Formats: sequence, structure tokens, C-alpha cells
Amino acid sequence: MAALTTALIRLYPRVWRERYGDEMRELLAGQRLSLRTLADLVAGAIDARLDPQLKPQQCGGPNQGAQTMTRRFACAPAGISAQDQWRSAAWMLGGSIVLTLLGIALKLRIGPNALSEGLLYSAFPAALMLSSECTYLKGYSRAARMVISAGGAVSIVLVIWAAVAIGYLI
Amino acid sequence: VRITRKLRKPGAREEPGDQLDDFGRFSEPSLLILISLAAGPKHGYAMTDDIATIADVRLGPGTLYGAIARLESRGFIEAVRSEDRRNPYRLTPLGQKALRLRLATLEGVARAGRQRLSEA
Repeated sequence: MAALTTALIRLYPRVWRERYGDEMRELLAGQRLSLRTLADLVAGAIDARLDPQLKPQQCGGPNQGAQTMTRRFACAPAGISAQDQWRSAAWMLGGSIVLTLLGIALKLRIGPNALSEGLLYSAFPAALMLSSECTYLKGYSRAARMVISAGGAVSIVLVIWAAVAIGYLI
Repeated sequence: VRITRKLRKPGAREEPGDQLDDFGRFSEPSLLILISLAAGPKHGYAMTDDIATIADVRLGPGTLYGAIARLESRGFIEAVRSEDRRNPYRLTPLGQKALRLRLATLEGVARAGRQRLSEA
């Protein structure tokens, strides 16, 4: 029972577990773990991952209506430090430069081709995706952050490569 | 209960109670939590029991903490420091205002509904 409770709570993002994990564990210890409770916890975990809530002290005061989205962008899910922002900027700049240089090198080596052009077009959006690893995805586990940011960046490159290739054909 | 914003005149200033509309499926549980905490600070378990008594609905832990997180992030409720692992929560002045406004709106709607029924 305790192992199942722990496993269910592990479905929630780390930041959420740190804040509410003990309380939820206490609450679950006092009740029967029914199918309904199980479904409720899984739905809650999906919600917490999709829309992690912020504490007011992390955002500098209670949210007020239309400002909610601004605050969310201003401070991001897990309370982003200055170091995280520098890391994010490094990902964005470094990723853009590396992908651009890769595109140029490929073009110089094998001549005009869809991949090198796709790399040039996707350099910034892919680097932006990589930079989210230490900002908007901070609340997720290391593995999830890597999969989402790197997977997203690769997907962006592939989609743009495919678009350029289709452009060459038509 | 997601009716406050729809009833407000266009261009009118948004009130704290309107923010409960943004909570989606957590709107009604959030209102019940605010009502429960209006009687004094409570931890999660006590809130669940109290809500079951007043509204005949037992909130699951995922729903309860999803609503608590939303209310806490908007400054409607706050955790009270405690040695216990079960953190009690209390209503903030902003939460009291939001609850008052929401209940006033609901009362207005209920009154209009009753009046129309009696006229029918």
C-alpha cells in the first residue's frame, strides 16, 4: 500500500512532490485506495505536469487576473534562478551557432542540399527548444527534460528538413 | 459555478472571485475549499471531511491538491507553519473577498432562478 502510494505520488513533478508530497501521503494513509482515488491521482498528476502551479512568493505576489500569464512567463514553473537563465541563454546561443556552423560545413562539403538548408533554418528554433531544459522544463526529472528538449529540437530539425526537401521536389 | 465572468458587464474590472473561472474542473472544488476554510484553518484531511459534510461530495487527493495549488498560487489561501507533516491552510483576506463575491453572485443567480420559477 505504502509502495503504491509512493509510486503514485512519483507521477507528480518533483517540485510538486517537494511541496505537497508529504501532505498527500498523509491524506492517502488515512483512506482506502479505491479505483476512483487512483484515477483521481493519475488525472491530478497529468494536470500537475501540464499546468504546474506557482507559489506567490516565487512570483512576487498574488496573481491578478490578466497578469497570470505574464507572471507565469516571468518566473516559469519551478522558480528559475539567474544561473538557470544564463544556462538557458548559453543553450540558445551555443545551439544556434553549432547548428548554423553544421549547416554551413555540410553545404561546403556536399554542395546545396535540403539537410544543410534545413539546419540553417531550424538553428534558432531548435536551440530555443534546447534552452527550455533549464527554464520551463525545470520542474521535470532530468531524463524527461532531456527527452523533451532534445526530442523537440530534433523534431524541429526533421520537420524543417522535410519541408525544404519537399520544396526542392516541387 | 463558472458564471461570474459571464454575468459581469463588458469592460467591468475583474474581481478576485472571477479568477475561480480560470480553474476549469477545479473551480467547484476550489469554492468548496474556500467555504471550508472560512470556518478556520484546516489541513487536507479535515478539509475533505468538512466538504463531505457540507456538500455531500468527497474530493479525491488529486483534485484536492490541484485546487489547493491553484488557490495558493493566487494568494487566496496560505499554508500555516506547523510541526505536523499535515500542513494546515487558512483563508487570506484576498481569499475572503473572492469567496464573498462568488457567493453574492451565486445568491443573485439563485434568486433570479427562484423568481422565474415562481412566475412560471
